[in-house]
Amino acid sequence: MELLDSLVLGLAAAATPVNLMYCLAGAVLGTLIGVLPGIGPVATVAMLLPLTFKLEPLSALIMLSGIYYGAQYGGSTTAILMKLPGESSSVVTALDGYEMARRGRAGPALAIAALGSFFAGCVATLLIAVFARPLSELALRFGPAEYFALMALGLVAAVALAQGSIIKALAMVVLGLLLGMVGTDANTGFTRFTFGLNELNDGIGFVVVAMGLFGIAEILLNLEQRQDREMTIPQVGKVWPTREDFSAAWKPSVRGTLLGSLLGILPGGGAILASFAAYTLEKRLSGEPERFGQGAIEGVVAPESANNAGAQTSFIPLLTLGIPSNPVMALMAGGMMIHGIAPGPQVMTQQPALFWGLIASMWLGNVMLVVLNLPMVGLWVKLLKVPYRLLYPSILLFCCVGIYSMNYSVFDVILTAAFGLLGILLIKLGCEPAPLVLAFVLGPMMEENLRRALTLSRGDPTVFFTSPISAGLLAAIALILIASAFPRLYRVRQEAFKDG
Amino acid sequence: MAGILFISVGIAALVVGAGYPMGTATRMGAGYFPRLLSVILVVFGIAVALSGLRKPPVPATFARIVLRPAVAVTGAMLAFAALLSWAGLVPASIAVVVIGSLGNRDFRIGEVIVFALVLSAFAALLFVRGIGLTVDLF
Repeated sequence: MELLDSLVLGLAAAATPVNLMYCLAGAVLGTLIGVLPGIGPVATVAMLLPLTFKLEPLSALIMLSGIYYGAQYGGSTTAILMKLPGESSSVVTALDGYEMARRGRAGPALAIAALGSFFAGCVATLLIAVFARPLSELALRFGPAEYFALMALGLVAAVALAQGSIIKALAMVVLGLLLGMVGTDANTGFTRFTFGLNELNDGIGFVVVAMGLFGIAEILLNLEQRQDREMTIPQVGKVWPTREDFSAAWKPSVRGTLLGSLLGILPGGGAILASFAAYTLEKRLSGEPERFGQGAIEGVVAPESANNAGAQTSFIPLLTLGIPSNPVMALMAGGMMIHGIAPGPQVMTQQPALFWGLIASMWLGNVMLVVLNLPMVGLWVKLLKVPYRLLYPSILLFCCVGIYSMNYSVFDVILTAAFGLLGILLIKLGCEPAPLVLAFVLGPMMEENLRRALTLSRGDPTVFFTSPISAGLLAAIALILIASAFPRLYRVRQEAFKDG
Repeated sequence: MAGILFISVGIAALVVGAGYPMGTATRMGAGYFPRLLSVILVVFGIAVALSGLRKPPVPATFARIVLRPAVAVTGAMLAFAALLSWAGLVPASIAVVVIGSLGNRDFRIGEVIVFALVLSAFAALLFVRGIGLTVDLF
């Protein structure tokens, strides 16, 4: 049982007191920001990344990933109790969860959401463990042509799964790739697009881009829209779900988990898409779709299972192929690079304790979350009373210090402010920032692999079609592009997002 | 609007990158990939602009950027950048909180000042004592 040995190794690495502490810290922090609307996991991970410099690499990664899946748990709490989704991945949970709460069933709704998440977390952890090895072995056989095609596929898939206009998302990808070109060219030492600024010679920091486009822009957006609303919090009541609840919930939970796991692996996927898709699926499958929106327990457990599964399986492409599938994973990749670890197939073979330790920590973190979440609901709800006018200056300050401490660079702070403005402008223009950030991270890698592939083939571009893997990947790209041009599929996509 | 943005960035990138060595496909120069991308960006930009023209104009959905928060938040970050090197972390932190808070319509001067002091002390403790960031406090 090689798999079992690996998991034992991972548990041993993750269950040291120090790592358990960071796991707990990550999970609690994740829940916290999940509860608080107006600050998401991207901004939080970006903010904390600089603080993990001094930690052991494993501890750092454990904490950062805890933030991501912890946020999925936390987001559901406020969605159910106040119809105030703390995270965009919990938007659909609010529909039926809040209805349940209004009917005095807040307790069972919270419990079933947590249990569904826990189940999904366990399954997803196991999936990562099972699929990691074959995938990374496959990845080791990839040459530059295959890698280029794979990254292109990732970007195109991210575009197809993004909300809103596809052509805009494509343009955002190209813009992101171009931004990734800024700085010194690795092959020739030529500096590009630096406008004579020495600070730009090493390129734009990806934390700067992510923090600006997500963190700062999010603050600006919130400040525009915010009206402090009155909050009435329903009684949580009896927590344990009834036998009928369980029998109604287990199938949707399994389906949500599977769907979420699948969508998490896909580039551009992850928690948000998973929850929307799972809700739509349950509504389609249900014999009485009219019950949805009226407090159907399926409508709570399916998206909650799916978003947690998706959050975790999105680690698979990062850990096995070295390709981040969403902005949080891009930040995780950055976190690994800070510690001198290049994300990719070699992580598993060269750093088995780190790899399996991270995976085992996800399971441990899920246990902690399910144990912590229910008793602490009251505390989380109290946190919501912190007014945003005090919250956002604190976030702003942490962003500033965090960015500065990455490179001890004042210039980076200014650049982040600029990206914040760009971010709000893009949001106003209906362009989602996620594809841009992904492309920004992948840009230099893509250029490198394109160059190598063409150098190896002596400039013959057919190399991308003659290699079977690369050709297959390119065919997949073509398929996705054709499919997303089709109006029918487009409508399905719209519908999946519309339910929010 | 978005189309115009993409087109102009694409053209700007073409102009700035015009002097970069192209090389050949076999031995690609530094300018090859950026040039390719710039052209694609312009093409997509035109496509976005065209698809925007085809639809009836929707002025309602295009909300303009509200100036006050944008100016306050950007100003706060610039102030932080300016103050950090010569005045130190504590004054810079206070500046961020105070100027940043101006972006809020519900600005309460007394509360903000107290909060700024508390937060900057906390930041100093956390970042300098806790994490060992080497930066002057004052």
